[in-house]
Amino acid sequence: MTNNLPNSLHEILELGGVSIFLVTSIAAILASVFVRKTNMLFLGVQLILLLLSVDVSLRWSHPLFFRAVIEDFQAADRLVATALFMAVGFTLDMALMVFLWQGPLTRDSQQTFPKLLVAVVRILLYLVVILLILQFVYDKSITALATLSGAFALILGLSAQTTLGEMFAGIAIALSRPFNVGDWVKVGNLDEGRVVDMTWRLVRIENRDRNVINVPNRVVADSPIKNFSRPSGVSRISDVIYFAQSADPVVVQEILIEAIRKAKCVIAKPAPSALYRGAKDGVAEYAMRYYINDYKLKDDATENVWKSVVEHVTRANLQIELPRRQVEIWREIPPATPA
Amino acid sequence: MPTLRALSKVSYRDFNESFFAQRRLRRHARTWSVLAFGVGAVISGEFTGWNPGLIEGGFGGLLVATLVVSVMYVAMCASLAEMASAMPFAGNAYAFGRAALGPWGGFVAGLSQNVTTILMSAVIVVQIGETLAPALSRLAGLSLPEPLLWAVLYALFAGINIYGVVLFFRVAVLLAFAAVAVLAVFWFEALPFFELHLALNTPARLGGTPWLPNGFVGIAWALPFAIWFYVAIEQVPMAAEETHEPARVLPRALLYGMLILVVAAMLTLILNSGVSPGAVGVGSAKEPLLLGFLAVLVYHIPYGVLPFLFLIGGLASFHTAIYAFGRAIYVQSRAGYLPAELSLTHRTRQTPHRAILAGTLFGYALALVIHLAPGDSAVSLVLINMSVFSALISYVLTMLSYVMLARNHPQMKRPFASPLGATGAITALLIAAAAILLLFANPVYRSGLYGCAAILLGGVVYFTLRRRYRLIRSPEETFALELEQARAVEAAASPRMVEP
Repeated sequence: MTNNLPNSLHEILELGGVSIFLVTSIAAILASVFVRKTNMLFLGVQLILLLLSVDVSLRWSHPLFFRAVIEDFQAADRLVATALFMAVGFTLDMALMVFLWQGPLTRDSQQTFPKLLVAVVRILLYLVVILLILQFVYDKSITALATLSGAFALILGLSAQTTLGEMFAGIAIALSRPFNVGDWVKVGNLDEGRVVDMTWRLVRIENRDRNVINVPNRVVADSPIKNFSRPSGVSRISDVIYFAQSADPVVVQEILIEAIRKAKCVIAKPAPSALYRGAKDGVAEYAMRYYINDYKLKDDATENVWKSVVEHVTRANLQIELPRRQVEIWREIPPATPA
Repeated sequence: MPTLRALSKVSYRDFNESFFAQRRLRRHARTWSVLAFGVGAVISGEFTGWNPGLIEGGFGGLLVATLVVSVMYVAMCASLAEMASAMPFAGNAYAFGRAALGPWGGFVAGLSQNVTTILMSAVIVVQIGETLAPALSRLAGLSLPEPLLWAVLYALFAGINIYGVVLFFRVAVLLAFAAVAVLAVFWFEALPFFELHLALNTPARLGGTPWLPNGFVGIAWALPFAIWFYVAIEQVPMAAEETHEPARVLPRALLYGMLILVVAAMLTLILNSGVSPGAVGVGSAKEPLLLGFLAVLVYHIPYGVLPFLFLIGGLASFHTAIYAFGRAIYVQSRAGYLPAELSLTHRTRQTPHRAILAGTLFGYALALVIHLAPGDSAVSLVLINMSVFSALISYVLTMLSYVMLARNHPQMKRPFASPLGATGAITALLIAAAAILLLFANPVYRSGLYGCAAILLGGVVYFTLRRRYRLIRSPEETFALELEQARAVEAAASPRMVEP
């Protein structure tokens, strides 16, 4: 039997490396199990280092340790290289997770980035890794495979046109970002509601009736979208109220503004206003305008404002009027005006 | 079992105001002093103690063992730095074990720390005596019996320790600096003499190669010798209560100290093995560095002075070992795990003089046992192995403490966070545990573990019967109790995490 013990400086260093990275990898696995902290990235780096050192030391370690499992050196070498590529892919995946999806793209500990795009990127990443393995480890030319996959993609694209359309519309939405999960929106002619989820096929909007409207991504992409939560959560609500023409506009405006200001849900800044829009239809028309900082409270705000306004107006001995139009009905046909 | 539960209960006794006033330490050290303390504690390991690993594992085997052990110590120091910044108490292993594993874990960790430090001092003083006695007789014609020399050394350095913490740190800085300087001189002088074939001249046994003369098993047998390169660095956090800004200083001292020691260990291992007479001669020598010096700079330095240069490393570590066992006994006594009288500090000097004296007596007795046991008999070997075993046991317990703290008390304030996190702590734990198992597999070392187990078991029985109902709310205990309370409050506030 030939003596396969490590017998040079670099073989000794490889041996040291293998032992150290073996221990640290086990430790990384144990740490992610016992101390519930997601240090999967650390684990990935450990695995890369371990496999790298196994790979370089395989020359002497294969006959010593691995021959019992895999007879063929070539096969063992390829297996280690495959594992190494996969470890690199895993580490990149985890790095993206830590530094991108859960990093800058996270707000208020909520992953705002659509899961769809994350899934697409992850699948692509692993696909590339598999292709690289085929090309470099198993020396299979991936040109044929790429052509094949192109043809396959064509068939798939034709047959799954709608679904793929949704998917790409989803990516388009993710990139143009007309809204985030949690925003209040009105898509096209649909009810307004809050976006609760964005998947690779549809956007879920919860309306004020607490029902969920499932809107396909393509509809979302093609429709005008009114976003009540952008640029900030502050929205203006406007309502019309009528008083007698005899009432002094300055007094009425003062009373209205005071009443609106007292109402709950209405924010102080920007300040509410009461616009005098003129005397028509036998009454004076005023527009009450006020701001809320959460569109969810729109109905509450309207109710509170009206309660407060009615109370203040009554106290000031004013009367809310209705627009009047005088309609004159003639019994006999009026004489035609001479031409 | 109800009886077991009843036996495992601990209780605290009351103490009056003067209790802690009589047990005060003085803050003095800053980064440089603590760094020197850490490096000095270890540095004798670069002078001697590591070299039999060359016989056991060959140069390659010892190199691999040293690399693995270096990883263990670096990971451990990072974890220790985090815990020391969070718990800047003199308790060290005991404080961490108490906070993470309860009074029993704290007691065992503290006891193994005691055993390690006292044994280390005995082992080092015997080493010093072996070099000093012949050197004195050659230089001054003075032939003193070794036990007398030890008594003088113990008295001298215990005296410095009791005299005051300022003097202690000054001497520690001086000795550590001198020891590193001696090593540096050796490295520079030895570099041109280095020849690889000399490092590889350990005779190979059946199936061995020049790099691994005893095969893979040799690496395992070389492990305890590689540990000598770094053992005692874990004592650095003991200086916490005598350091200004310990939360900032201790992590620095630990990590910079470790950096210095890794460089020193690698250079010493490579250069000392590769000069004449080579690995065989160096491996079996009692004073490997002296042998190395003889090979490379006999022309520069008079022969009679060389042994004294060699002694500096031993003295530096001996000096700090006395400090370390003094603090180790002091903290366990202050918390009631050992008789409370031991932790009284000197009224004016504010050093734990009783603890230092007690440790000195123990250490001297152990040195006598090592000496009086016939020849290279089992007893002395057992004691030397015990110091390695008890150190490894305390490593396992401290790293376990780190993992438990990370798991159960993630909210604990940690001014310094270990960059290696729980992975680092588990790495150190695994390597230390593997070292214990590998050592246990070798019948030569097994007796050391039995010795440790006997002492720890005896300690546990003593604690159960005599001390567990007399604990005192020392800083370490208070911190641990508050931590438990905070966790209980937190658990009551949020009964169960709701999975999203």
